[in-house]
Amino acid sequence: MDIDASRHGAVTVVRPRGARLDALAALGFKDRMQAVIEEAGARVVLDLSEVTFLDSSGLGAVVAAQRFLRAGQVLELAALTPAVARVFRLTRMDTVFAIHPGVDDALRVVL
Amino acid sequence: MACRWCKEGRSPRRGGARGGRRVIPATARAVRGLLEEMERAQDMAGLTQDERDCTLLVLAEALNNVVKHGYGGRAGWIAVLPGPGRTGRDWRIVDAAAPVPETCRRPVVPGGGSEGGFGWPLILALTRHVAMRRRWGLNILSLDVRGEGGGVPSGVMAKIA
Repeated sequence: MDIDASRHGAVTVVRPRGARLDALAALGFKDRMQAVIEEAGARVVLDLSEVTFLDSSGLGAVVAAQRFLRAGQVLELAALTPAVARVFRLTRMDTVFAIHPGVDDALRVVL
Repeated sequence: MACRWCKEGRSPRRGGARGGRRVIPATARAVRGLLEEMERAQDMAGLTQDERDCTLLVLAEALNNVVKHGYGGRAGWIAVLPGPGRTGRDWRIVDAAAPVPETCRRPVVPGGGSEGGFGWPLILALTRHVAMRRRWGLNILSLDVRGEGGGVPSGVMAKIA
């Protein structure tokens, strides 16, 4: 799965390109996230606006991406589509991540 | 491998739908292809978007369980058949793999930064009925997805680790 990354000061916005973050895409996603996080700023915002299908493997890959964070870095989520938000809610992973309605909302937050 | 469930004398016909029945190779790529096809097909035409999303997610979790834990990387097939109600939310999944181990079917949402174990709790949260049986050397999983958005059975969420 391809992902785009853009830097906005201390915030790196990462956007997966593709509608499905599933068992087929999960491994590639993790590898790409590791590479991006190594170069990222203090806040990494995962923009999930293009992802309309996320299964437990995709969820596991998002959770696993936290392992690549350095001390002081944080992974946040933004722009969850309804189907993706449901998975985070049902698994209570919405209590693990800061989730922003949109990327602009995430960028407005000052930590 | 013969598939008695599908009443085929030889290996089940791969791909495509016949009477709503589909047979795919047991791979993550084939699972994705099947779900994309079902999303476009008429099987779920009468469902709301939420119901369709939930049904596709439940099928994804069940099928990936078979690929990962049933066949465990070995070649095999999986059949997906409409349930007797043909509501678009009731489905049967048939395979010739080893039964998915009990340890992969814990009704507990894992906590503590776990990266796996979410699949079965998601299935339970989004279905009103799940039944698994073994017959003729095949696994037969029956699933009936809840209407409108699903719910979170207290028996599942109460067991969050």
